Amino acid sequence: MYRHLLGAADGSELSNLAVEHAIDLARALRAKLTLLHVAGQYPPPMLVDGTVFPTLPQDEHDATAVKQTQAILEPLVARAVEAGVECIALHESDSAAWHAIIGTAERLHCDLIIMGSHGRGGLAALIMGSQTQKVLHHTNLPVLVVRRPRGSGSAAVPKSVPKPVP
Amino acid sequence: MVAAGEDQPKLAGGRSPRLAGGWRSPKLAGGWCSPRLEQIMNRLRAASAALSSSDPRKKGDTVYKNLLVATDGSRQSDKAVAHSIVLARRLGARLTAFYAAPDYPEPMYSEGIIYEMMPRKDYAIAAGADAEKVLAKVAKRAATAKVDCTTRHALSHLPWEAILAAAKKNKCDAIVMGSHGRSSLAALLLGSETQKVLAHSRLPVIVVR
Repeated sequence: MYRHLLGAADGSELSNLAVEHAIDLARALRAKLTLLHVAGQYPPPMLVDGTVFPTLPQDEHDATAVKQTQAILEPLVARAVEAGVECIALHESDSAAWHAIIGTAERLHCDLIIMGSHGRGGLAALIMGSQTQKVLHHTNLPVLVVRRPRGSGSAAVPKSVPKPVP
Repeated sequence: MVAAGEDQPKLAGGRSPRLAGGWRSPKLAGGWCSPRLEQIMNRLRAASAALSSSDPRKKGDTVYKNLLVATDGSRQSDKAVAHSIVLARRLGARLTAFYAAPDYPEPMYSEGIIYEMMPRKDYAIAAGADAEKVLAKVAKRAATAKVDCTTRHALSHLPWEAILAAAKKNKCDAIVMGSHGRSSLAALLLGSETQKVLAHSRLPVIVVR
């Protein structure tokens, strides 16, 4: 059964909710929990007229990424540990979050991925987030998708779709 | 928050954390861990070691109390059924097995004559028997695993809607389903019903591949 869960967090409200689900589930199953935050990759320097404009010094980018990860994951890890769950926080740099999530899950031999139905990209909050969609498409692991509970958030989902006229 | 020097978190920079095998402390695993967090973790590790003799889990203190597993009798959904049974057992949850049978095919009208495949009543009985066959297998497997299982079926043109309605009606708190069912034309991608359940559900959904 599930012995090692991977929770993906991007700092959004829904991903925090997903992590809470992950903590509860890990506690009930006495499973380990790994929390992952994927920070953006170091942007490549721009080349204009033979001059190289580095977008940001690498150290600075790295430091920001670590700080960001800490800000997002530290409270979540603290909550997990308080709940008595063995928890580890990881950080990855990848321009494609889904890729890093699946890669980490495989590398650490996780057996369940837990994530929100969508993250920060709020445009198409109605349906599925692109990263969740891609994780679902590309992984062979079971995925627990946590949705925003009714009544919170702005996404207005119709209760049902009219039945097609035969 | 983070002291300089030794304890400065190291950035993986896209490189894989060195986790060869087994479970190690976050530091060894290459993940970052701030000193404050490590302090908390050490304290709690000691506390949990003291508690380890007694199970901290209270009865009724489970995440999901009633799991809905959607099946269509296909091999893909069999996997979801297996997952849900083990999960329900580990969590001490009940299981609601659900099968959405295709709805009554509408009669055809042609040149003033109505062609009916089958009387509506007979269809309902036949579909019910079909559902029973699929659900009985699930119930049997659940019984072997000593999981409390109820079976439900519905006739619907829209399986995803029937699944969500059944979850609501039976007060389920999570849905388990395969990534795709019988019509797995593109096994690479997600099945259409799973897609729609994911889009419309307010409950957490476990997609089993």
